[in-house]
Amino acid sequence: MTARKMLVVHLLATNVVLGVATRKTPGAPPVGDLVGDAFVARSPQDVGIAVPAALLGVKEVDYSDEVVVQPTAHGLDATGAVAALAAKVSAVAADGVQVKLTLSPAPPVDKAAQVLIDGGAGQAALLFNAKTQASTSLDVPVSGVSPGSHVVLASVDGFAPCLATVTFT
Amino acid sequence: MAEIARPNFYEGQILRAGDLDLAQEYARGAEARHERYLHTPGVATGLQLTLDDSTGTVQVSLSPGMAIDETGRQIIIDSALPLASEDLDSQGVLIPSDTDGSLKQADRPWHPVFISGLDKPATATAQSTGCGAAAQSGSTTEAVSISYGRPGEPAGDIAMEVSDGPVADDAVRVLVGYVQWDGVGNFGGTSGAPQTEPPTPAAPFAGVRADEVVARGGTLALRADQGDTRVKTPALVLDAGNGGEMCFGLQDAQGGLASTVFTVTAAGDLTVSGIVKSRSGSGGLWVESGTVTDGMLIPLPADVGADMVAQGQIALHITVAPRRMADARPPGQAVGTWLKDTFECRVDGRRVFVRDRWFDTGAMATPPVVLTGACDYVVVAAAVGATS
Repeated sequence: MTARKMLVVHLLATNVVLGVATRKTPGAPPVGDLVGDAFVARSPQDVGIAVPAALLGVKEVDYSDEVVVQPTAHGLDATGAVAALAAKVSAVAADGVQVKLTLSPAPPVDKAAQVLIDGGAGQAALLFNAKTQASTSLDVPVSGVSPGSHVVLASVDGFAPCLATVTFT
Repeated sequence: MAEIARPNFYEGQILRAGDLDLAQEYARGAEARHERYLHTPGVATGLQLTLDDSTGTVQVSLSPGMAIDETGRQIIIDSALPLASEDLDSQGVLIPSDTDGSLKQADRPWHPVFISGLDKPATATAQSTGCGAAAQSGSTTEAVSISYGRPGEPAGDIAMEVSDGPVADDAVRVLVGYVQWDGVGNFGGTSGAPQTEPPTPAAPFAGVRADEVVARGGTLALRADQGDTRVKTPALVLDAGNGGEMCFGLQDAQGGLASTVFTVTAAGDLTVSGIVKSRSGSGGLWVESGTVTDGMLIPLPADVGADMVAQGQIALHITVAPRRMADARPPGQAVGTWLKDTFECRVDGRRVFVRDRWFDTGAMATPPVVLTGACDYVVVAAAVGATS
């Protein structure tokens, strides 16, 4: 009997899982078939940000209830399997020139980090990439962010992401 | 009924002209009966009407080619044959709208152009005399005559006995195209199949009468080639390979199927790449089901593209239900007795929005924990726009 499968939609840069789908048809479709132009990542408080499909990948993996219950607590490991993420991006703060991520625990150096900032109504999200240092704090330089509140999705390879509303000065 | 006879020759026989004619007529009759009863009349190759006004004077000509008439006679034109406009004028087929000055050229009627096979004895020479006879022709030229009809006039039929051979007669006509009068004194246009109302039949191509066609190489193809053009013209292929199957699609330059859109195997498996429509209007149905998490799109069934939905070819019928799992507590809570309630479970387009609320029964005064969730779905895709 064929093992039950599921499709995980993940950030290509950091391998963090954002969504899950199962279907009877075997195989992985193009990511656009599962998210459209963008995946709508949102917090329980209904704060969301559109993650462009170009930043996402889709992979067929063995089914897991745990991943369906809490997709963002999982990521793809080096073998391409889904693994629970014990570490997490615990907080996000910002000023006018950088976004500060608080990581728990401290990551290895040179892990991919990605910050996606809501550009506002009718505007594309702003994307910034960085690499981790051996520190629980990671400052990601940003530019072009208008002052005020913006939804930020901060993800780091091997860490559960953080979706939060952040005030930029 | 005329009897079919063929000559028998024997040593020492004095051959008469009638003996030789009989041999020739037997062969001609056999060939004509083959053409007449195993093929349908029409153009076999060439015979296209063209209009040339590059010299300032309109000239219409019929290109070289061959046709088979309904008596089974081959009509051959071996070099371009100019058409004389005065013939159209003199044959009594013009009607008032041909010369109505208020009509645009495009609105003028189309007159059918017919060809007929004629026998013309070659000119007798002084050497072609028999014993005690006058000079006679020693050969017959298979000539062609061109005639015109009134708009909508058919080629007509001729009564034949089964045993008859080919007939050379102006009344046996093959339609090769249409011409227009220019309203004054010349041709105004040509067409093989003019667009008219009521519709005008196109000049027919010769066909095949057969109740059985047998392929010897294991593959039988019907091709809608246009001249030498194959690319993007359809073909139907009956293939003995793969256990036996029938395929339909557009051809490539080599005559292979570049894109097979319909296949039925000898086992009865049917595969189509488009939409199956039915007269009932219900059309095709595709179904998919599974589970999706908040923010995802409901996956479409296999073979249903998002473009087909966007273009209105496919209607989606989606139902979702909150995912019920044996989870006693929300993620991250190790203790306590919790109650789970669905806060939101809906679909917008194909995108799902699902959130759950968890109530801590030991602290009911505290706000519930809200988390994004998952739902089970069933999507039925139905073809729309079917004929009814």
